[in-house]
Amino acid sequence: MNPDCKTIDPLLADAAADRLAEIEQQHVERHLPSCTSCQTSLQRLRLLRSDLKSPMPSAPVWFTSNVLYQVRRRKEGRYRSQKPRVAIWTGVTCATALAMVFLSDKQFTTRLLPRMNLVSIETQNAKRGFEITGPAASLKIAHQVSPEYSESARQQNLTGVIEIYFMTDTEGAVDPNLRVVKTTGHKVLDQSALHALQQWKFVPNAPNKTDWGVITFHFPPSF
Amino acid sequence: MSKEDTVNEFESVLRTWSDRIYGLALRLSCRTDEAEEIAQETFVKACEHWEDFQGDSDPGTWLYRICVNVWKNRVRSEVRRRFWFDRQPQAAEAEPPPSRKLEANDRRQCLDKALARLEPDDRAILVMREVEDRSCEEIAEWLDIPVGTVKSRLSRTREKLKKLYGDME
Repeated sequence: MNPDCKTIDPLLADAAADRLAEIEQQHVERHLPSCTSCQTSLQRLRLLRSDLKSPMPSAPVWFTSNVLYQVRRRKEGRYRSQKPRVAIWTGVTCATALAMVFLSDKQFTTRLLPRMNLVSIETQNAKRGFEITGPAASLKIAHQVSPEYSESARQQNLTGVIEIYFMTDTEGAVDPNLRVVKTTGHKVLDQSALHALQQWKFVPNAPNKTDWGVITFHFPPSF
Repeated sequence: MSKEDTVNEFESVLRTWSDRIYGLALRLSCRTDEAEEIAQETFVKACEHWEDFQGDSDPGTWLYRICVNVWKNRVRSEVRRRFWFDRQPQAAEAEPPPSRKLEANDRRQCLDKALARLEPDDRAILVMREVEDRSCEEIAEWLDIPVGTVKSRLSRTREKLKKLYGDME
């Protein structure tokens, strides 16, 4: 190694990245024409750097919606966890005890229960053949398409439940970037549900407002 | 500001930076499955502290910092786990998954393979310096090590990578 190379060598990495100060750059430029070893070294460092800086693959298509889903779940969880656990358990125990008392009363189950909203929502959901949770649950549906349960799926007795995270745009249309949270386990049923949901349209609650929700479809349809 | 407003505001930052942060996570971890988890955790943490972030610095720098911290914590807990439960040598664990080894016929694959063979901390220093063009001072602060250590490890890692990469070409 040329004695000058010892001073040049530590500068080569920064020379390859064009990060040298002017005086250092001049020093390197004076040395290089007379030294093939440093020329090769610089060339290899430049090549390595350009390969390192080559564009990386983009994040998967579901990445954004998945993060938003996690963020919203965490935020809801955090607000829930602020409440003391003892109070929650006390509340749950009392509610269960009260429910048992009421449900044992025949008059309550036959006359009062059907009038309560809870039952009507469940019945409504069963009639509709889907359930929506999240902020989108409060939106009015402008257009809906039921997933097709094909004759061949019926003959093969394919069953399952699919949960899909979706977002609506400011017009209320469903964003095509859907995320399957839980699969039916059958590609044909999943595709049928995704295809149907892409055609849905909601009525936004407010102008320029987007919403999100998780919709559940059952196969075979429960209605 | 309601939590939904915060998420909506954060969404544009997420869409702008998701590819860059995922790319950084992929370079740091050398594994697609782990990169997705690191990038996801980065954004979830960032959103949790979005209201505290006053915009004093560039959101990119802030996200990079969170991403490096997330990655660092995962490496530390992996080292602890390996110490107690699995005494396998670290280099073997850092190998890319088999499917990638089979496709190692282009420069990109060779480089990924060579990077995966480096020590995680060395890889991080190199990636932050050469790919992200971060200063040695910034890297030292993020990894909590002296600036001199960053410089010496950087030089050692370049030599090691040149050799690993050169052998594969």
